[in-house]
Amino acid sequence: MIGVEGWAGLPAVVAIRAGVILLTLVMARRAAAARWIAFGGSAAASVLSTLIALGVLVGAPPAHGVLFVHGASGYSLGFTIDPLSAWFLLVLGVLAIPVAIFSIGYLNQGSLSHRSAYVGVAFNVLVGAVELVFATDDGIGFLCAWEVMTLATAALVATEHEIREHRRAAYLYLAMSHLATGCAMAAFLTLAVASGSFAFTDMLSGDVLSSPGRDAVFVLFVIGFGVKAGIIPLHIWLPEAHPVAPSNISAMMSGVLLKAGIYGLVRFGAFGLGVPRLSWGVVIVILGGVSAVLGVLYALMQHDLKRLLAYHSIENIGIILLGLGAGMTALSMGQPQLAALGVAASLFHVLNHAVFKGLLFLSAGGVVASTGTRQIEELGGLIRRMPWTAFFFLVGAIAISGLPPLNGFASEWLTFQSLLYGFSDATETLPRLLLPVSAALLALTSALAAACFVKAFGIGFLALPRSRAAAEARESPAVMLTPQLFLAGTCLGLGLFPGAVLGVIGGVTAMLPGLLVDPVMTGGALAIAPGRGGFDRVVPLTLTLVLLGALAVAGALAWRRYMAVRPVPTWGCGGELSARTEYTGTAFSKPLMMIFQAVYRPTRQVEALADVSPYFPREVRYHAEIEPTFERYIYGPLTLGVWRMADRLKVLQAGSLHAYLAYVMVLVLGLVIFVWWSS
Amino acid sequence: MANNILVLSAAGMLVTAYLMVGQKALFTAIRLYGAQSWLLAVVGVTIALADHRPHLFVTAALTASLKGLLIPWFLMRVVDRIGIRREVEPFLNVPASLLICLGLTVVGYRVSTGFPEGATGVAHHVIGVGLSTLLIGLFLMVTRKKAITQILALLTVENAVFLIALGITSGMPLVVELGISFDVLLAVLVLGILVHRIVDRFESMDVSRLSQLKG
Repeated sequence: MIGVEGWAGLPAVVAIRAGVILLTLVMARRAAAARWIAFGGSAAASVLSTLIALGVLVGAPPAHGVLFVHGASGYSLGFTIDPLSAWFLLVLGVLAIPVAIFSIGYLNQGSLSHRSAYVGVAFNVLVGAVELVFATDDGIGFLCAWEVMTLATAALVATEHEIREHRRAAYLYLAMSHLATGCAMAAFLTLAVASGSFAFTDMLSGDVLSSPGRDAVFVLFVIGFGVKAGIIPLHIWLPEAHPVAPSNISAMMSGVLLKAGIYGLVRFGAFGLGVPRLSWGVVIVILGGVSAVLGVLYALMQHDLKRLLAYHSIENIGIILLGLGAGMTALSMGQPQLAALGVAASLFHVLNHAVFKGLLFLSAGGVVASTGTRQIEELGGLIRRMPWTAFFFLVGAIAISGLPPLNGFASEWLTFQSLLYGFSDATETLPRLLLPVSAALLALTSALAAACFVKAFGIGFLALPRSRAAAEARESPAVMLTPQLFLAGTCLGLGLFPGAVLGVIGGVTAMLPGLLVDPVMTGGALAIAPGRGGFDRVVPLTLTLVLLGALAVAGALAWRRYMAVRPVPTWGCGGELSARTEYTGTAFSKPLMMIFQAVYRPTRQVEALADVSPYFPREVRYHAEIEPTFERYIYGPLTLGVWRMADRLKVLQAGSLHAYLAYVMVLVLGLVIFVWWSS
Repeated sequence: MANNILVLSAAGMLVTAYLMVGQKALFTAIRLYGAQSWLLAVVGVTIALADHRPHLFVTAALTASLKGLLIPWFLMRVVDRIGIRREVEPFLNVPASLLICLGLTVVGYRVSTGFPEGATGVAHHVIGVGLSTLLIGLFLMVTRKKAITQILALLTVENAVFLIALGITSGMPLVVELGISFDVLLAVLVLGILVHRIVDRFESMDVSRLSQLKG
């Protein structure tokens, strides 16, 4: 139908990437050529994999094939692209293509330029590994691809490794990821031993384990994939690693790599262990609610543009988990249609978040590249210097705030529906209590997210420039703006035609065991309809037209009045208006800091420097800091404990040859005696 | 007759291992290893004659020429060159070492009953001696400080494994044995050169000083 045979498609993608990597390495000395080859090739390979995914999503049979066979062990690395894999591959492709093109321009600046080949190769390895993660159909292949993905990301986080903070972030990421992979590996091995095979069809058939083994494996999966997804309290690597990576990589990390964790949770945790238990759904809903609210609360207090976006990723992962958790609770209570709604909301938000967060990181990347700073207190006035970037950032900001007509609204609204219907249909007390609370938390989250982006956009792009760098900012080149235009357009398209997207997601949820898709949900192209009653139908297009109409009326009124009013400069209390009189980000978020004092536990310091009289301060210094709760109370003691244990274990590794030989001898003696014992 | 020779030679190997534990002069230890290899060759020849396995003659010849002559000669040359003749005081003194080796022999003999072939008869002794010699070789490696003694201990372990293989399978295929023989030769060559290097660097071949390399 689209000319890409499923079985040949993925090997072709892998082959292209291998060729691109080789060619990039050959051209490594010539930065510009390496950039074009690496990222152009990556975009081409992504186009191909996206076409395969689209083919499967619109109804082609699942693509199935073998990537390579290892003769000696008889192991073959196979892949199966079923609708769930295809959906995540689509998410990957929608982001990886524009990011690759953006990278061509983004890496053409100062210190990054001579690392073009390095970033280009690692980027190809990364995207290829994520493709394999989504496509493989057995445990060994999955774990291998998963590790390659982790290592490639760590290498990219440490791109500018001469800076200490960057090395530290990469190290933290590696440490947390290995903890996670250990958990995932334990879970996989347990399932493989119980089912006698590493193939997903056997491992995930749903009846290989019974409780409490099943619960233990679920917990292992939640930890294993939760770290990658950045669920609170496993998130600490995320706000460190996202800001320090190059912005194109931040976009990939936030948009796709976190989703690899979600993919694992959906495929293995939620639908790989048989019908989920009620407690599992409840755990996921609680984790989602906590991640969403705390994520956005911490985001509000950030003054680093990319760090702020990183915390918003945690928030959005929380929203995704809320939908998934609502689906799992419904499934455990035997409501397949409602479950399909929750999972669909979650999958929809996976795509939406990838698109708008990718867009935001790319815009932020443009700002960072142009001004050289990530601190929003040093920006300002960029809307005049970088109008297009500002516009795209605004589109992303509206989308992430969940406002119609952009895509964030569609999926968040569906999540609300699944939570509220879950409440009204719940047959157990716990979800009946929990789901409405979660819905309220989600509402709070959306409102706070909007506040946060008012701050980010208002302080960053409006008013007067606060620094020389911001005043002299230059608009990004077209090669960086075009991908943003594409993503902004996708935001709008997904927002205006949610019904069409739901039609595709219907096919994905239909393949998951136990879900039943309501035909109403997947019916139209324009409307979002959970299909439970007549009143719950929303057509974003109509909303948009109404909003635009209202805007037009308001504009017309304003225009008429403008004619009658004499424009004068803003009154500056008799003084001169400068950047120093502007509202700062800290000031903007201070009321919220006071309201949520219990969460932030801020420490504030006001220091007035006066020359003559304390009533006439020359300078007032204000310093506020929020308490890093998780770092201080969970990870601090944990790290300390690990250090102490390592110190004690160091005795074993004495560096003495004889001690090591003695270990070998003890081992041999033990084995010999064991052989005798067991015979 | 054949069985008696077999058991006698195997027991002789165990005795050489004990003598090595009690020995401090490096030349004598190397000669003991040579004698042990000759005894192993005798075991091979006896099995070849008794079971009519002509390829074991080749194995025995290789053992006698390589491990009985060539390797001892090479090691003696190394010792001569670097001019260190005696092992220093080991971590454990000789009487204590001998007592521990006695314990290891008991373990070896007891464990040999665990093999289906080793429960009774001649094979019981051969495997028992083999396991005991293997453990004693490892013990030597752990307690001695000079690199040459460590090489000898490694070679003793290798002889013991060979003996066990003879006892269990009445001889492995010729190709495998050829391969192992040349592996051993190569290992000794490499280790000999390594000892030179260690002496060059540290002006001693006390391997416990290698821990100074630790960062």
